[in-house]
Parts: sequence; structure tokens; C-alpha cells
Amino acid sequence: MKLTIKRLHHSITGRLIAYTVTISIVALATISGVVYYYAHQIIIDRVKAQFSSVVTLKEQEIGSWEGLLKQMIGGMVADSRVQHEAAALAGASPAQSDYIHAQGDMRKLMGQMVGDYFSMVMFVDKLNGQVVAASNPDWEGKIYVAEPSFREGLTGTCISDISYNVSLEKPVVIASAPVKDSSGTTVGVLLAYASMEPLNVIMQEQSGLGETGETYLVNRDNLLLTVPAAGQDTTSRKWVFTKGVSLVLSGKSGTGSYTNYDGEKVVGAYQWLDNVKAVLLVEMKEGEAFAPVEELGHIIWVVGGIIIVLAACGGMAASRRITRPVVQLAEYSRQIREGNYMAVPSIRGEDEVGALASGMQAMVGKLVQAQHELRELSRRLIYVQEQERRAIARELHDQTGQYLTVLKLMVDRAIKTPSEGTVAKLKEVQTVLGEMMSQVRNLSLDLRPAMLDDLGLLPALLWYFERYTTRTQVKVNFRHSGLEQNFPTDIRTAAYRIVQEALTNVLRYARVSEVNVTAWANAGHLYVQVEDKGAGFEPSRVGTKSSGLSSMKDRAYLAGGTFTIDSKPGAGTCITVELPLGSEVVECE
Amino acid sequence: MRGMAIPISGYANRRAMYCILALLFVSLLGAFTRQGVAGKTAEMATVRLKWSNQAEFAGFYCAAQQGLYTREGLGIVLKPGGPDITPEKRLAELVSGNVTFSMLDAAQVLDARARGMPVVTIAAIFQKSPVIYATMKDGGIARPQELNGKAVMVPDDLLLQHNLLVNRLGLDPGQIKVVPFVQGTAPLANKEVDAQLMYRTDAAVDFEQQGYQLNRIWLEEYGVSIYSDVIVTTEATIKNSPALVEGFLRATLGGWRYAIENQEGAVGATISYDAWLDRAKQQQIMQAQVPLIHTGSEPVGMMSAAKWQEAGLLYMRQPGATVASQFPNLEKAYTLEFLDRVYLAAK
Repeated sequence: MKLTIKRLHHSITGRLIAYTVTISIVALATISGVVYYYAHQIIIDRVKAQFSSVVTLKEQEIGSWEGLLKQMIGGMVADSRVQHEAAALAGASPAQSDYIHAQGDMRKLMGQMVGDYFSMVMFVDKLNGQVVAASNPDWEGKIYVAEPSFREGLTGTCISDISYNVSLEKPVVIASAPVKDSSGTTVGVLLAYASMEPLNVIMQEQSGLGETGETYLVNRDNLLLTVPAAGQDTTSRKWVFTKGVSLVLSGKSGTGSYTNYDGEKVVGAYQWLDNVKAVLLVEMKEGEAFAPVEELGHIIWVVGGIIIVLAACGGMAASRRITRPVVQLAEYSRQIREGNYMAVPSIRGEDEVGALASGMQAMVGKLVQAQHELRELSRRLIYVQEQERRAIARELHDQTGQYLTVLKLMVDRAIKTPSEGTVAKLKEVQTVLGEMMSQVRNLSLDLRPAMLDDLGLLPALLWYFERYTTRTQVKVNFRHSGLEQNFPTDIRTAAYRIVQEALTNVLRYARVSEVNVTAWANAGHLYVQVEDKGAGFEPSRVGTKSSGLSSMKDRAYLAGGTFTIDSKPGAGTCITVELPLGSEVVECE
Repeated sequence: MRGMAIPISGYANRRAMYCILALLFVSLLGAFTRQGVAGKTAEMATVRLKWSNQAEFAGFYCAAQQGLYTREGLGIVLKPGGPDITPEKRLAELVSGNVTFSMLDAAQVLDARARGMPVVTIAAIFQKSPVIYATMKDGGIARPQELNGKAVMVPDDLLLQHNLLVNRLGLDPGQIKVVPFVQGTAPLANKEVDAQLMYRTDAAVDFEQQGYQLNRIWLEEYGVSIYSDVIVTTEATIKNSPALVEGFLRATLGGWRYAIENQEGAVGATISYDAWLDRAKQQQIMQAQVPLIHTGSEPVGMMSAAKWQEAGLLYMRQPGATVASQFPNLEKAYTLEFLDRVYLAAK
């Protein structure tokens, strides 16, 4: 038979599996979370360190570029031809031919200076701050008097901040230096617009930042100053209002995760570069920066999934192992419930469930034995009843019937011969009636002496012993104490019948000429003991086979008392019965 | 059924009671909220814009759309300008109190002050001047000095700046023919005029959209570096309604900050004021004007005494300038009081 567990979650096994899996998931999630967090932190630290070194590198490269610009503009203003033409321009009016000649020569010199590092060079006169000669003549006439690069250029070589030029509509860096005449007097300023390409190249060098790494500059008005990656559109302007730029402009350099100018999630370093007055941003897309962490995350998911599946399987196996005895016990219990008392629990082991199974099995054994005894008792009661009926029938047929037949014949004869010897006939009838009455009285006494009900236990016992001795020639030594009280009907009946049965057994088996009967009573119990010094027997061998012993035991049990027998072959037999006088008496009759 | 009527009726009564309580709660909440938002009596302010509706005024539209004026307890009316709304008209309606705020440039303010008008600048939107001479690329004019003997179309609104430049560069005004303004690209494109004074952020965009190649000669680079699109009001308004001026300025500058950081949103807000506007042009206007408005060195709208000083000097150097005797009153042409309050409060 199988015990079907239909709903797993309603079973101990199901709950154990659920607990195991839950604990596994919680433990795994905790460990995974901690591992993931620390891996994330390690990656962040590594990225920060990498970004920090890139920032330093870029800063150095920008510094080198600026140094080179300074060197170059310094070399230009030191050129004697430049100084000569500048002096000529400063000393003549625009209408003079010397001025026009010098302006043309200066334009040529400025044109020669344009190259990889400068896109435009111009000479600005000191007096008006106006461009008097430029590599691009269209720029001549512009006024730089308010420009910081002009003002600072009057006193020394300088490199401007990266600023947005409204006419070029792009960011520019201006190198400026004073131009002096032969006497050392400053006559103007050489302004050179630096080509931004070298700066773009510096910014576009990946420096180990991976495929998505970008480095770029943003100025104070949030304008993107350099092209972050080669090939990107350079015509339209971009403003960068990212968290990194905002933090730097509010005075906080650092690293962090944020959304970049294209709306992509990036991890980046942001720092203010004081030499170019711009924000340097070093960024890498989060996807690439945290790729190792993501990979670790995937591994954790896969391994975690496998562990959870294994935990579920292991939990299932362990749970089944743990709950198997319980299931078997439940199965055993079900069989007992269905009446299969012969079932044997298949539980092995000596643990708590094993002990429970053993206890159940013992209880079932006792139950079976009790049931068997009850059945045997019923059968014997029926047998005894039949025996009694048979004895009564035999008595009635053999004795009373005979008497009645004889009596009938006598009466018939007396009727046929009413005059002759009627008196003698009636005397014979009288004799027969007397014997018949004696028979009926004895029969009645044997069934149940009336004095047991009318006079009590002690007179009934005394009468019975006397009658027993008369009939059997076996002397009864009777001692008693406290029997004068009026015992309950069932108690005195049980005591009387047990004594009666015990003495019958003595007569049948003990082969003795006397027997000792002792009876005494206190407030709670009535004790009866029948002892002989006869043949004795082995009680365990007799068991329930002896109807006499069983009858005594049953009567004692039904009266709520106990029955003990002490006997050995050749050592006589002693029967002791204890009957309660309280309310626990089992009513029977 | 009659027996059922009692509980149903009871339920209906309870529900009605709950509805009434909820309505009362919402009404009270609404009343408190309105009080909290306004915080003061609502005031109306009218603003005359410098030109017709376009992204040049995106900050105002954004402030309105974002509810910044409402938050300041202001009801705002934005009145577009145009070729017919000359600076003189704008000044007249401002001084007469028909509008609360108006938009000019620094030269116009100085000129108005010189003529005794009690107008005061409270903020400057364009930190760098957007004014350019546009010439056709193939016209051979790349510098203002080359305008001698040429015909230049100058709108009324920019005439003062043209004069300032001519004077600044020492050009002979008689050699430059000033042609009255006509809307559209045709006069310059057809070479009816040699140059046209315009905003880089407006008319120049029209030329670009139509594929014309222009030389752009920035007045800013030839010594005429003055504030443009300044917000002005009157001395009376400042005296009588300082809270209104401060609230208006705070909301407007907030709108401009929003517009700069959300340029697409600003274009959307602009178009919501005039559905006929060309989106692409408004985007180009934003691209062109943001570097002139948001320079990074100063907060949006900020002004400096030094730049006003330069503007004053430029104006005073004009031949026949009437401002000379009133020059000491330059400081009355602008005030930093409200900008300071707005930005100090923001900090």
C-alpha cells in the first residue's frame, strides 16, 4: 500500500524541502551579495586608480602641449624679422608706404608660422589693441584691447584658457607674447590661435581605457571643448550638463557613476585643470567598466542556480530519508486503523520514531491479546451457559422427569382403583413428591443459593463448605475476618463463585483431603485465598485453556479486581483474589 | 424587500457622508495649497519681448511653462515684438506703464537715460553681443572697414549699435549708405544691399537654412561689446513693486537656466507659444545663442559695472552724443540689486 502525498506543501517532506531551499537561497543570496559587492568595490577601486593615472597623464600631456606652445610663441617673438616689421608697423601710419610694406612682410611671416600647432597668427599693435597684420587678412582691424590674452601678452608669454570664440564658433586657445623692438620696448603682441587638433589627439588617446573610454574637456559654460572620439561630429556644439561637470564646477573633483552627455551610463573621473581652466573628464561606459563584475554576476547566477537545484535535490533526499520512518509509521497506523493487526512496522533504527513504532507495536499486541481474551471469555461464557443448561436439562429429565412420570403413573393408578389402597398410593406419591422437591431445591441451590442474597456471603460460604465436605469428603479449613458486612451483589457473587470454582478444581486435580480457605475484608477490598497442598501445576502451560482458571480470572476482572495464581507441580496451588468494594466495580449479572 | 431597505439606506447615507467629508478635505487642501504657492497677492506683469516669438526668448516661455512665475505669485503676459514695435514704441509703453518690463540693448538704455527716461536694466540675457554684419561670402566684404561706400541695411532696433561701431572704428558715416530694414533674405541675397546688420541668432539662421554662405562680422570683435537683450523696467516699478521685480527676475532667470540645460525642451516651449514656428530654426537659434548667454564666468543674466562702463564710454564718444553731461548717471541705467538678491537667495 502506498501513502500518497498529494499536496507536497502539506507534508513534512514538502515543508522540509521548502525550508532547505529557502535557507539555501537566503545563504546563497547573502554570500553572492557580499561577493558581488566586494568585487564591485574592487573593480571601482581599480577603475578609479586607472582613471586617476589617466587624468595625471592627460594633465601632463596638456601641460607639455602648452609648454610647447609657449616655446614656439617665444621663438616667434624672438625672431628679429618679426621684431623689425613690428617696429616698422608701430612707427608708421597706415597710409604710409612703409606701413603697407611692413604689413605685407608681417603677413608673410605670420603665414609661415601657421602649421600643425597654430591655425592663425596675428600682430596686435600696443596702442589700439587692433590687429594690424594677420596670416588671414580678414582678421585685420579686429580689436583685442579687452581680450585677456592681449593684456597679459603685453607683459609676458602666456597661454589663454580654452574659451569659446563667437566668430569662429568653436573653442580656441590663444598663445600670446610681447613683441619688442630693437631697444626692448614692447610695440605690440603676437597672438597665435593654437590648433586644437593636438589637444584632440591627446584627449583621444585611449590610455588603456578600453573600447568605450573617452577623455574630453568641458569649459565653465558647459561647452564640450574637444572631440571625445575620432570621427565624431565636430560641427554642432554640445553642452555637457552631467553630474561630473556640475560637481567640478562646484569645486568637487572625484570619481563616480553618472549619465554622460549622450545619455549613456558611465563611470568617470572628473577634475578641474587649472592651467586650461576646464573640466577634464575621463569616462568609460559602465557596461565595459563593470564587465568583470557582470561576468561574475552571471557566474553567480549560474552557480547559484545549480547550487539551489542541488540543494533542492539534496533537501528532497534528506527530507525523504528523515521522514521515511514517519511515513512508514503513518502507513502502519493506517493499517492498524483498517484492522490489520498482524501488520508489522517496517521501521528500522532505534531513534525516537523507532521507539514510537515499538511502543505502538507493543500496544497493538496487548490490544490483540485483550481482544483475544475477550473473545475467549465470550466463547467460554457461552460454553458454561450451555453446560449449565445441559446439566439443568439432564437433572430435569433424569430426576424431576422421572419423578413426574412415576407420579403420573401413581395418580393414574389411584384414579383407576380409587377404593383399594388409595392411602398407600397417596403415601407413595407423597414420598416421590418429597424426593422431587429435594431434587429441585438442590438444583436451585446449585444454581445460586438463595442465602447468598438473603443472608450474605459468610452464611453462603459456610453452607457451601459443609455441603462440599459432605459430598466430597474433602475438609475445608475456613478462616475469615470482616465478612459480616453486606457486600455489593456482584462482589459477593464473584467471591462465592471463585471459591466454588477453586474448590471444584481442588476436587478435580489436587487429590487432597483438605483445603484451606481464607477470606477477609477491610474498608476498601475483599480478599479471598484458596490454598491446597496438592499436585499443583505449571500455570504458564495451562494459560487460558482451563475454563476453571479463566472463569475465576474473568470474574475477578469483571468485578474490577485482580486474580493471582501461585502453583508449581507437586507444591500445591494458592489462588488469591482481591476485589474492590468501591465504585470502580464493574457491573455485571 | 422592505427589510433590506434599512441597511441599504444606511450604507448610502454613510457613503454620502464620506463623499462630503472628502470634498471638504480636498477643498481645504486646495485652499491651503493655493495659499502656500502664492504666498502673497497675485500680481500681473506684462513683458514686451524684443522681437516676434522665437527661441531668442525661450527662457521666458520655459519659466511660464514650468510654473515659475506662478510660484512667484505672478500672472505674466508675454507680448511679442516685431519690426513695427520699434525701440521708441517699446520705451514709450514702458515709461507710460503699459508694460511692466521690456527688452532693449545696453546702447538703447543709455540713449533713453540720456534723454531723461527713467528706465533701469535689471539683467542682461546676452552676455556677448549677437549682432553681426552679414555679407555674402562672394561679396568681398569680410571686415567692417570694407563697408565704406557700401549699402548696409540696418533695422531700427540696431541702428544705435551700427553708429557705435562706425564711430568706434573711425569710419566715415557718410560713406556708408544705411538702407531701411526689409524682412527676409532677398535684399542681401540679391545684392540689393552689400551688408545687413542682424542677429547671428535670428536672421543669419534664415540665410543658413536657405543655403547662403555668409561672412559674419561680429561687432563684439570690433570693439562694440555691449549687453544685448537686457531686461528693463522703470524706476517707479522698482520703487513701488520691488518684490514683483525680484520675483519676475528669479522666475525668468530660472527659466533661462532650464532652457540652457534642456534645449529641446526650450524649443518645445517656444513652439507652444507659436505653432507656426519652424522647429529646426528654433534648434539652430538655441545652438547659436547659448554660448552668448551662458558664458560660464558669470551666472545667467549677470551684469558687470566694467562692461556698462565700456558701453558708456562707447556711447559718450559718439559725435554729438547728448549723454556727456549725464554720464555720471550711468549707474542709474542698471541695477545689480535684484540679481544679487536672486543669486544670494539661490545660494
